[in-house]
Amino acid sequence: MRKTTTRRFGAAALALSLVAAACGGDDEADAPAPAPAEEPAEAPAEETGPGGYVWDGTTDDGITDDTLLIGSSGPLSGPASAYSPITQGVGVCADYINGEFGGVTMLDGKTRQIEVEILDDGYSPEQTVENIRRLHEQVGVFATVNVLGTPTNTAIVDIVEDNEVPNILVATGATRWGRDFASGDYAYTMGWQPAYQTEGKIYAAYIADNFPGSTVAILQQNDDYGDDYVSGFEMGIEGTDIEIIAVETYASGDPDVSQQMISLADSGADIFFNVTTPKYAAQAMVSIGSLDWDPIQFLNSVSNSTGTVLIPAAEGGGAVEGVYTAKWAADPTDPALADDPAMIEYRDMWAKYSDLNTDDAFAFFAWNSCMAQKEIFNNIYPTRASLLATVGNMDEINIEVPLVYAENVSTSIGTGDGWPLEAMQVEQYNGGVWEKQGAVVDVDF
Amino acid sequence: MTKFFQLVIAGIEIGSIYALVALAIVIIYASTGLKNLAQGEMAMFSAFIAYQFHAWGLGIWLALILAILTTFVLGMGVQQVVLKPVQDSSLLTVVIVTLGLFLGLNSVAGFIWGYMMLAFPAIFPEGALEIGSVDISYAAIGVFAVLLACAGALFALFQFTKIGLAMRAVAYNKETSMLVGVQVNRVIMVGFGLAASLGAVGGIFAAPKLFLDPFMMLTVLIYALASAAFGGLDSPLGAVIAGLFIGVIENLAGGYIGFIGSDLKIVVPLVIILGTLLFRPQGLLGRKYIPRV
Repeated sequence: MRKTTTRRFGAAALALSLVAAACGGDDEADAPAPAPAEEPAEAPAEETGPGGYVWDGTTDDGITDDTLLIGSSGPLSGPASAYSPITQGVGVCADYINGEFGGVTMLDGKTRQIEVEILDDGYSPEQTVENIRRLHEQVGVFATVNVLGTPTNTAIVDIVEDNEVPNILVATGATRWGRDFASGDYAYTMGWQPAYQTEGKIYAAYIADNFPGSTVAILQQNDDYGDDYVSGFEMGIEGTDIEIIAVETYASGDPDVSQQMISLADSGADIFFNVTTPKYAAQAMVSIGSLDWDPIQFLNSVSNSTGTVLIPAAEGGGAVEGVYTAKWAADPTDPALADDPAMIEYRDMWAKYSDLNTDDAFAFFAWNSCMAQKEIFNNIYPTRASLLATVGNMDEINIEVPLVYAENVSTSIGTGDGWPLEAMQVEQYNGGVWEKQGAVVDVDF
Repeated sequence: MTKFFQLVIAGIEIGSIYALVALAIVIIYASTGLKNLAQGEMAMFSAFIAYQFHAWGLGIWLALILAILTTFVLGMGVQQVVLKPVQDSSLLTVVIVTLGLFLGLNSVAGFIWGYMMLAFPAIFPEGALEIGSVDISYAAIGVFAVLLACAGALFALFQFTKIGLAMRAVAYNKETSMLVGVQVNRVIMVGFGLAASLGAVGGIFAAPKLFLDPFMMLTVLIYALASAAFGGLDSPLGAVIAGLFIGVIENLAGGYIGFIGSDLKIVVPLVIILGTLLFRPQGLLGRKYIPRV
């Protein structure tokens, strides 16, 4: 890693750094030890940020006195391009922060305009690898934000680690991002949305409370994403009287899932847990509509979009009424929130700085992430170590993301917890809208 | 027992789709010796065309008939513009061209209609015929009936019409047909249109069940190729029987054989292709090719 180092020499600096070293206490053990000769003369003794980070006056690649350069990679084209508002949103977010606040004001007191380099990977991991190398080695970004997808992030996680360029708020719910960040195995990649495992646990808790003694049939995709949900669910039902009596899998790319659904129906389970991506979720609900099986359905949040899953499934004759799901953020199309100030702010700002459809769940995802980005970048010194210390200790800064259900966006490495968001609201689909059921559930790992 | 019959019926329903696409592959192979890898994507494209006609306000039956006719013309166009120039090139060249067609159609469909899945309107009434505890959906009956009708029409075309006779002649021996005055290129063009239309029927009737997106026919094509190989690449009847057989077998294997389960279902057609090529290369009902010295 190259560092743009502000080198200032002098006896005063040396003296100050000695004082800093003496006063830093335990916190300092985690931070890189500052080289005495590199202390800037004007640096006060205790420039510490969240997570006990002590600034040594250096500035990392991608940051100048008035700019912050970040990057992202995501599917702007190709089969997964429905997600593109999340990727485009990184650029919109920068325009919003630059336009409304003049940029981010970091802890060193300097305000910097955000510059963004966004690259298209078409959801293809090989392309993501190329993109991330380019962002790190040629563009020279300070960090990457909202890189989208589980297979894509998995492909780059080692490069990110080797190059020591943080990849924060990744747009995927794989359980490993929080786990590996907390354990330090992959300390440069951090998640954002609740882990799939967390969600599986939330359904288990809800079922144990509301449908005691019931049996469960599961349809899952045969990969990490499916396994994460099911393992979370299994953890959640441990010690309860809930029993899984049938599990069927399918491969992404299979033409349909009717055979699996026939086998699950044959089990006669009370509850059907639908761990599938949108197309298969709709097919499964259509199958239930045509089979002699009427289970209580739980649908994973991956496929709970009203417009792209529930409505097409209903048109195809699917059983969609009464389906349960869990959400971690408000729904921009929820009529009850039409006059909510936070929602109005979102619509106004996104309309001002982009042409994204503000009803789109993914455009809304980008806004929530943007709220977090703004606070994170306002609470760092211009170094990557500071960024990591801050995102690892978000409970120390006041991050307000009003439209997510979590009361506090927080994460604390100390408790072995690397998940910023862990609260979800169970909702039920009734007459074309999602209705909240009970209180927000906060699952602590 | 309910599960068994339910699996067989679901197998016949999906197998009918495999059979329709396999029929399209067989017709083209029989008359040109070409395996069209883009057959599935052409079918997917036709389903989008039907969807578009319906979205413009036409009734679903009218929309699908218009889409099939449009596809007939498009199929002939594709043959003239894309495949005719490479028709006599090496096998590899032709395969690469159909592969390019495959990718091209997929991207164009994604560009026009997007990659989000769309609900295709139901063609047959919802609901099911109940026999004991087994539900046979009207859609399953309908798709099977359509397959039989297409196979019957094809048989009649080949046996009783002049163009059918010409197609059989071209398939049998291109040079001799040319010598006796058959306009070989025109016959091949019509054959392509016909195959594209048959595939279109498969795509359109699959769409309500599979949901419409540019990847709808991706694995269906693999099952269809397996059906065509298993039934005999030059035997339409073989394609129909093999398509239905594969649909039923993969469902029963997935439903009952523990280690295959649903994970290894896709292996079933591959094993069938391999087995056919090893033990009976001409397929179930295909003609054995004996080169004369």
